[in-house]
Amino acid sequence: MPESTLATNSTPADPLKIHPEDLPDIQGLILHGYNMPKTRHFVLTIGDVTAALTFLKNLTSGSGLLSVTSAARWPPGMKPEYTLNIGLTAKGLEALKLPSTINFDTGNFGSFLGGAVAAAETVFDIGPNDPSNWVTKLNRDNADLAHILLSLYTFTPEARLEFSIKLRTMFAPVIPPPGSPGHEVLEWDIDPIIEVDPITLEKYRAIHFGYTDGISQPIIDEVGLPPLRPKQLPYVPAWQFVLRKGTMTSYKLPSPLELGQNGSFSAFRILEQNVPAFDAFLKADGRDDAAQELLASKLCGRWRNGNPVVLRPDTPGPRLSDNEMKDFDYGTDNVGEPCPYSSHSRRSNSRGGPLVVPVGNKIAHRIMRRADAYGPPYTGTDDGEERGLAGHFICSSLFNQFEFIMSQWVNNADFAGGKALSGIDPLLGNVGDVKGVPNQNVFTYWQDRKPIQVQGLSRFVTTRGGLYCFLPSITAIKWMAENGGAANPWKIPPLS
Amino acid sequence: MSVTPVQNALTALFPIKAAFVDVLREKLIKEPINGSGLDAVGTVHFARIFVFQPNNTPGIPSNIAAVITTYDGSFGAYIQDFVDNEDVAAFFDSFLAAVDDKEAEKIIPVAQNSKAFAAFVQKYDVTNPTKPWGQWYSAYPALTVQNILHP
Repeated sequence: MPESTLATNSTPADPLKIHPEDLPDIQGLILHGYNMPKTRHFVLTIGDVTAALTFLKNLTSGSGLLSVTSAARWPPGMKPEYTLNIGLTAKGLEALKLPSTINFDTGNFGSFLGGAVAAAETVFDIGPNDPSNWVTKLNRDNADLAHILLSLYTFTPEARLEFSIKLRTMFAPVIPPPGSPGHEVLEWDIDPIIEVDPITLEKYRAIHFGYTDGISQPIIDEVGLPPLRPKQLPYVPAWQFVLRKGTMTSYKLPSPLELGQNGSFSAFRILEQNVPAFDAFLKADGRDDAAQELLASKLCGRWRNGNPVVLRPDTPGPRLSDNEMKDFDYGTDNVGEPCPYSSHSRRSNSRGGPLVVPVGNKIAHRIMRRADAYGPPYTGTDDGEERGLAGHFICSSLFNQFEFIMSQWVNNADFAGGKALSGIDPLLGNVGDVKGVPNQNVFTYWQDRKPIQVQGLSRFVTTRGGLYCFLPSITAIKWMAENGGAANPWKIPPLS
Repeated sequence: MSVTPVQNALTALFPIKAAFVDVLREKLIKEPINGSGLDAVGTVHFARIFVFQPNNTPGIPSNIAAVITTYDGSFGAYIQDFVDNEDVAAFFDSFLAAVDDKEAEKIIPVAQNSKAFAAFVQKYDVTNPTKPWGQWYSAYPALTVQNILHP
């Protein structure tokens, strides 16, 4: 992989657009979906600061066993064998003993500084989703020792094994010795479900609930992008996903410039999906196949083949083209017909609906999803296996993007100004544990302007882990490697 | 009927520096509110902003600017959407310069300090829902701006 060609960059980058010269400095997963299916996420604790600084140096020197992958474009046909990205929690930055002069503004970046456990109530990680129930490494008791998140992407299980061994060799000196708190490394494998469309024979990725996934992502504005297609969602200003200095941003860049610029943030999530419960809900009341598919489409806002309900209201029809699947809005619909207000895809990307319109030149509350399926495919019987979806939800403001989506859209019955009976997101919402929302076990959609109420809704997704990470630029990783280990180190400031 | 309205009240009374009273009053009288920023967010029912000078009432600052609104949803969550509008942000940046509180200038520009701005407004909100304050009435306790505009 090309390593960063940037020396310490002191010129503030364009807040609105990504320029070609920015690419080698930005971590690749922020801008690109690698489409490398065999992924492994590692979460580790810094036990030895000096070793951690050496590790960071080796990840960016070009001479380590593995290097962090930047967003620099690969020559045509020259995909690397692996890609690797790194995130650090606020506790991780503290463990590196960075100089006390660094600054993450508590108003702008309080969510990151507080961490995912502290944000639990805000994002409705309550009840069964509570951090006390998370995987051991990330749970309420241990979260302070979750410091570094490494995401390794490869093409094959063999490559994943091979590069994991190299990566473990690299970080072995970093982690606390056996028997010490934090010695255990969390390793979480992602194994996407690849399905084949029976008509077009096109391969596509699906989630365990059976829906085609990864259809629509925000496109970050970049020099040289083609003009927008009719109905294509606007390009999103670069600063909303890549930290930039400028008066039009909604934050003050973390300082110094070398640390803040070209970074980003990730809400890493492990979300268990209860497919047997989902399946049983669809099949209840003697629904036939067509009725099950109709209900599934209303829950998601897309048919399981990905076609938007708003374009294909009655039956799924053949898979639309990639652009047709992305380029639509909810028009003047103020009822939720054919696409219910509560449907998952409407909740998480409202395409110009009420309360979610672009404000001025800003496109508010978008998120970049780099997440995919884990666990064995569901074969139609409850096998007791854990399966779900895990990965990064990337944005420059955890508060105004990730947390906003979870609190104001997904888990808020007053979504879009309290459309009648809109309830909460039936797929991702914390069904049953959102206070003040009556009848959470009823899913409502509209037909001929009349509400159809389906009983028996339950929680289909349970949070199994969360981690708020800073995704530093290549420059920042080098800067941290050189400036960590300070005698008077930075501490997470008090948060109000 | 005792229904908790879906709307919320904000009645923020800011102390104003004496030297800014006339400037701010003139501005409020002569420069009409550009409603497009508020329309775009879509949660504000009404907003009134004005300067008044209680006549040497003990315990009350002698120069006050009042911001009184009725809105839907979470004030804290939607604050960034408001200050992302350039006209709204410009208004509050100049408004804060007039407020007689040394913390005010630290949250200019509001667009990059939205959380601190929200906390600052709530500090002066005499109807802040976290403290007891009195009564208000809504003729349509279940209707949001969106329900009214798009029935």
